[in-house]
Parts: sequence; C-alpha cells; structure tokens
Amino acid sequence: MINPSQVAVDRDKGNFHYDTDYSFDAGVGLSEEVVRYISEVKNEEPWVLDFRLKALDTFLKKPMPTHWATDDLKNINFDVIRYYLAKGQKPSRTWEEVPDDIKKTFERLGIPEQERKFLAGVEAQFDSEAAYSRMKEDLEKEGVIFVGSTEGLKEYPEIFRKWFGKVIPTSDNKFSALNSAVFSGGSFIYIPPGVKLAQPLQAYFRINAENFGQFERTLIIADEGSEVMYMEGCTAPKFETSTLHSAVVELVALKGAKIQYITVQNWSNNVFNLVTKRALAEEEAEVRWIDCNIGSRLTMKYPGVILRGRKARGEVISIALANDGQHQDTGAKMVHAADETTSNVVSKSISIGKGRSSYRGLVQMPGHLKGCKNNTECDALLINNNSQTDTYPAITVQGDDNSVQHEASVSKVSAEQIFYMQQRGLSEAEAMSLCVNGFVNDLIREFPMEYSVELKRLIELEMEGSVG
Amino acid sequence: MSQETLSIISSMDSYSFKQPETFTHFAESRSWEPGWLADYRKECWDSFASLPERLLKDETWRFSPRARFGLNKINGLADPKESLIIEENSSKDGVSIDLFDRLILDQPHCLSLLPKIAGPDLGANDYSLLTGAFAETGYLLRANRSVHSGQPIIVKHIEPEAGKIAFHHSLIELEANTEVTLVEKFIANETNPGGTISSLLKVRLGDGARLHRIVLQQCSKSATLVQLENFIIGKDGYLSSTNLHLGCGQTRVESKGVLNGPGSHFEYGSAHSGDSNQLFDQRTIQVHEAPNCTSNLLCKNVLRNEAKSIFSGLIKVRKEAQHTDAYQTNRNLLLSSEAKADSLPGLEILANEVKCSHGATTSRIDPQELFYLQSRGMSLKDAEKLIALGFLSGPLNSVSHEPTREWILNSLADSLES
Repeated sequence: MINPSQVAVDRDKGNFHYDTDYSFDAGVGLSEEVVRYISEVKNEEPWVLDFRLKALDTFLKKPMPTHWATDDLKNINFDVIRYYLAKGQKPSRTWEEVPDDIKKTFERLGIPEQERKFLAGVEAQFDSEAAYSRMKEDLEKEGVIFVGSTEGLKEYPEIFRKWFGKVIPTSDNKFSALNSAVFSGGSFIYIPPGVKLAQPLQAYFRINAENFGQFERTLIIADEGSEVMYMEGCTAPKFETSTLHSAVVELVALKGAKIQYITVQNWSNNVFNLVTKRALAEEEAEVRWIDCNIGSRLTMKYPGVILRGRKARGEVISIALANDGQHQDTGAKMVHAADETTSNVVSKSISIGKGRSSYRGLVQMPGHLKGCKNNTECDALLINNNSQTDTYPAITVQGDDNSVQHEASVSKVSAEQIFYMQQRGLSEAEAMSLCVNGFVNDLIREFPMEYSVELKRLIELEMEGSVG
Repeated sequence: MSQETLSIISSMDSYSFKQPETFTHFAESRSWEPGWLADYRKECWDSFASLPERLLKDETWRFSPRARFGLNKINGLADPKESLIIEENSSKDGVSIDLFDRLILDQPHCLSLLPKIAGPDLGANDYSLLTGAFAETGYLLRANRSVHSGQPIIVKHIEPEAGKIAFHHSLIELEANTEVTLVEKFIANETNPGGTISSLLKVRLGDGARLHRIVLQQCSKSATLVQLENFIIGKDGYLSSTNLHLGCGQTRVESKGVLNGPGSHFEYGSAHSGDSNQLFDQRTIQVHEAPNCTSNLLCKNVLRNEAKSIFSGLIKVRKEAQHTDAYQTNRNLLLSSEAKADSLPGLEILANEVKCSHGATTSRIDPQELFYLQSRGMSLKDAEKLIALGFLSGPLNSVSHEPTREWILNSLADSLES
C-alpha cells in the first residue's frame, strides 16, 4: 500500500523531501469534484474541463494493464494520492537548512551552484532571469512560444488545441487517461517554421514553472523545417513527496522538422513513474528520444514515434539503471505509417543488486509500405547474483520491401576484465564502475556535454557498494 | 433464417466440447481402462470445463487469430486406429515403441508417467487438456539399454477427415546413455482433407541420453495442427528437435525445453514454408534450470501470398542456472506484400553469469542476390526458389543422420518446386 505520509522512510542516500505548504490543495483521492476544482483553480475554458471529465470517465473504466505489466501496479492506491498541489511562491527554507549529505551529493555530481538552491527547494523557482534572460529575449524575437500547459491552452488555443491530446489520445492507456483528467504543469512549446534553436530549451528556465509536477503535460510543436532540443529532469536526486507520477508528452514534428527530447530522471525509491511519450513525425521529419532512467520503484516508459510522412525518421536511445527494489520497465515503439521511413532503437540497461530492468519494444510495418527499415539493439548488463533482466520485443512486419533487425544480448562484466584492471592497481569497485561506464559510454555521448559528465558521476555513485 | 442462426442450431445437435455429455459418453465407452487413467481423464476434463472464458487480450495468443483454432468446427473424434501408425520393424534391441491403445491392455504401468508430466503450458491449454481427456492413441518410445540406434524410428500421424479431430498423447522416455533417432511424419488426408490433429508429446531424457527428433509436416492446406511438446532433459543429456512445416491451414506449435540437469543441451530448429493464407503460430520456451547448460533455437519462415507467421520465444534462465549459454534466432523472408511476420523474441534472465542473446530479422530477398542469379540465366521464380531453399535449409542441416537429412531437404525442395 502506498501512502504519501510514509514517504520519509525507505530513502536512498541523496533522496530527500520537505514538508511543504501549498496554497492550493485539491485534497486526497480522485473524483469529479477534484477535476472540477483543478480546472477552476486554473481558470480554464469549458472545453478543457470537458476534456478532463471525459478523461476521468475513461480512466475509471480502463482496467490495469496487468495482463502484460507487472503486478506491482496493483499496489497503487489512487485514493490516497493528492492530484493537485500548487506551491506558494515564497522560499520556505534557507540553504543552511539543507542537509549536509545532500550538499555533498550536489558537489559530487558537479551541479552548477545556481541550480543547487533550486533543486534543494531553497528557491521556489529557478533563478532563471540572470542566467537566461538573454536567451529568452532571443527566443521571443524568433517567435518561439514557451509556456506552461495552462497558459498554453488559454492564450494560444489556435496553436495548441489542434494537437493537444491528438498524438496520445486520452484512451491510449489508463495512465494517459489519468493524466488527461488531472494534468498540471509541463511545457507547451511552439517553434515557428524554419527556426533552428542553437541552444537547448530546458524545463527549468521557464519562469513560475511547475517543473516537477506529478501529472505534467508537455506538447512540443516544431513547425516546418525547424529544429529544437528540449531537456527535462536532472541527474540530481529528486525531492519528491508524491508516489505516483504520470506525465504525458506529445511531440509534433511537421515537415522537415527535427526534435530531440532529452530526459534524465533520478527518482526516489518509492515513486511509480508511469509516463506516456509519443511523437508524430511528418515528411522528412526527425524525432529523437534520448532517455536516461535511474531510480524509482517502477518506471514504465516506452517513448514512441509514429512515422507518418515519407522519409521520416525516429530514434530512441535509452539507458536504464535498476538498483535494489527498482524495476525499470522501459522500451520503445516505432509505428511506420509511410514509405521509406526509418527507425533506430538502442537500449542499454544495467541491473545492480536486486534491481530488475525490462525492455519492451514494438515495431510495426504494414504491407502497403515500401522501403521501411528498423534497427533495434538491446544490451543488458547484470552486476550481481540477484539482478534480473527481461527483454520482450514485438515486431510485426508485412510486405516484401521492408526490413527489420532486432538483436539483444545479456552479459555480465567478465572476471578477466576485472582481474586485468585490478592488476593495474584499480580496486574491484573502481574496475566495475569503469566497465559499466564503458558499457553505456557510446550512448552517454549522445547527451549534451554537461549531462554526460553528470551521468557518469551518477553511475559511479550508484555503483558504490554493489561490488565486494 | 439467417446463415448464422442455422449454424448455431446445427452445432447444438452435433458434437461439442461444451457439453458435459460429450465426456461422459466417451468415459463410458472406455470403462475398461485402469482406474488411474480414468481419473486422469476426468481431471483433465474438469480442468478444461473450468477454463475461464477466453480473455480478449491474452499475451500467450498475442497477434494470433485465435478463432482459426476454434473447437466449434469439430464434429467428432477420428478413428484412433487410422490416425497414428508406427512403421513396422521399428523396434530394436533395447528400444521399444508401441501404441498407447495397445499398451493400455497389456502393460498399462508403462504409461503411468503420462499424467506426471505437464504440457508445455504456453497458451493452448484447452487442446492440452482435451488431449489428456480424449486421447485414444499415441506412441510410447522407450530405450532402456545403452543402445545407439542408427536407423530412425518412424511414426506417422495421419490427418483425419474434415471435421474430425485426432488426439495423440505420446511419451518418450530414454534411460541413461541411450541414443535414439525418431522421425515423425504428419501426412495429409487425400480423400477428405480438413481434419484437426492435436498432438501432445512428453519427453524425459535420463542422464547422458540423446534424442534426435525430426518432424516433417505435410498435411493438407485445410488441416489444423496443434502440436504441444514438453522436453525435459537430464544431466549431460542432448535433445535436438528439427521441424519442417509445409502444410496445414493453421499450425500452432508450443515447444518447451527444460534443461533440468547440468551440462545438458537443447537444440531446436524449425523451418516453415507458407503459401496462400497459411498461418504458422509458434511459441517456444527454453527453461534453464540447471547450471552449465546450453540451448540454441533457430526458427526460419518463408512466406508467400497471404501467409502469416508468429514466432514467440522466451529464454528463461533461473537463478541457479549460472554459466548458461543460450541463443534464439528468428529469421523471416517475406516474398509478397501481404505476407506478414510477427516476432516476439524474449529473455528473462535471473542469473548473472550467463551469455544469452536473441536476434530477429524480417526482410525481403536482397535484390542484388536475385539479380546475380538472373544474370546467370535463371528465371526470377527459380532464383526466388533457390534462395528460399538455401534459407530454409539452415535449421534442417543440424540433422545428423545423413539419409534423413537428405530426405528432409528433398521434401523441402519438392514442395518449393510445386
């Protein structure tokens, strides 16, 4: 049974939370009143409320997907979860109050000074003005819209309403329905035609962002020929009070557009992280999901791309690390719906201690298409005797002009490798850590520079105490 | 009256596995059987009757048009005497093969292992339980001395006439250090094709025992085959199962290989050549229970016209099974725009000292290869056939008995010619 009042227990090093006062609170449990309350607080248009209510109905009707997913889902108690919380704007504590071990974790991960205070909850919002004001100005000049979900639907309905809930319909799965009913926070982004952003957009330089909302809703529309890179999350341990996170992320890449969506998440051990992410790629568009999942009790996340236009390209690159008591159930979906579309999936997972990592994949190519290609590689590394890994791909191919290749392997760090490094003077743990970093190295290079450095350190941190 | 209501009325009058009388009549007719067998049949029937309604989303039937394996088209049991034949002079020193129905009369104790080994349990439990309840025939193959029989033993499963179902419940028990080669042929019914065969095979290999099994299936294009097998391999045992499926409208194969003793090996190869709207639904599982075992699976499909294949395989490595070396490969060649291949290769690994991998590919024939052969004067059709033959012969090459290998490769070549 999950109960938010018990979240203070069962914490790993570096995971922490504070009691926070909320200016708006929808109470516990889910009902029509809660949904109406959320909509009212946000002062939404009637069509948004209708959308939410319909979604609630769908959520209540849909069964848990335990015919294929883990039974652990049954442990979610929807009646004790708070579905809407809005933080007050005043900082509620000082840097001095932040525990030493957390400061140490920030230090070791090399989190920039400016971001530390925000991550520790010392500042209610990231002090973005100073660091990014120049960039914001530039963005506005280019015509880029970068707002929260509430603002996006209210102020720019002509842009966002068309695609909102279209890539991932409410009824896609139980958790997308839940998100559609109670969503708050997240980012709505529109990139005008031909605009190529040199700098990545980050969730936390938007002012007043409810960045780490439980039920984030993100919609990114890249108009013809534009390019954008979006980053969310961070390698620092998340201070989370809630046990259920269910985000919906929709990407729309119109003709010739390129979207890269980078996620790095490090949840605390009691969190169910059930996310639906999908992109729509029009003609010659390219969508890349780059995903790193660390922590959480159960993560279920299968970023997908619907390749709808000719020569569209989809890619999923993912790293998952499962430690004691964690189940990383991640994967990718590639739905080919036009000629000459290509997709690539590279997934690497590491299971440490009693951790379990799973890969679930889906590739579909109907017979009327020509020249579609998919390549999938899944590699799993098992560190300890109790670690577990599974691979469940599903590949459907029809027609005589499409090709698919899938390969998966499971291995462990060989005794020879460890021995070699030990005789060069490394300790066993250092040797193991080096091997693991080598295993994911080619994927880590896909992340932006500062993330890749942090990621390497984080993996070292996670590996500590797992060997010897 | 609409077509549909007519068919409902007629099905109510006829043979149906939905009515309890079907089993009580059957049990009465076999009241002379030993008590333990009657109990086992009853148990199977009761389990069948209490099976839950088919789930709409059943992972073990994912992608499968399950209705094509429906029991409602069946209107009676096939004559057991005509549905399974052992070729004469098959028995040799130390190796004995006999029919289920003959053994029940003379030596019923030989069959007492049947209820103790379960079916593969990969989805078609309805067929598995019905076979337990209704099987009147099957074969029992035993080897009890250190014999190495070179000549294969041949068993023929004959497709029953349209509407009839044949239940074959068979057992292979090899004692330590024996070696046997078995060929199973599934033969078409020429006069009235369209029957169903449900074959449930249970195999137990003792320490160091070796079984080479070859299956050639040439049933008619309207037949249905449900082939369920559970192989339990003991210490240092070796089991190879090589399958070539050419016929049947729809085939459901469930194979489970359990590596029960250390040092054992499981080799599984299957080749399917599909045409018109044939369906090959294959589910496999390699269960590594003991350390130092190896297993290798290769499944290849060539599909023309509207043929469809489903391959779902799982490598399951238990915690104790360190030093496992397991592979699984599925390769599909699609020769038409309607042909369809589903691939569900899976891994579930709980031990860490392992080498496991799987691969799945689906593609057309490389146009360069076709061009090369055409430039040598071959027609496009012949070039395709030649490549398909080479492609499908991969899993068949592991047959170690040379005459048998040649025979099965020739059968494949002949079927591609026609």
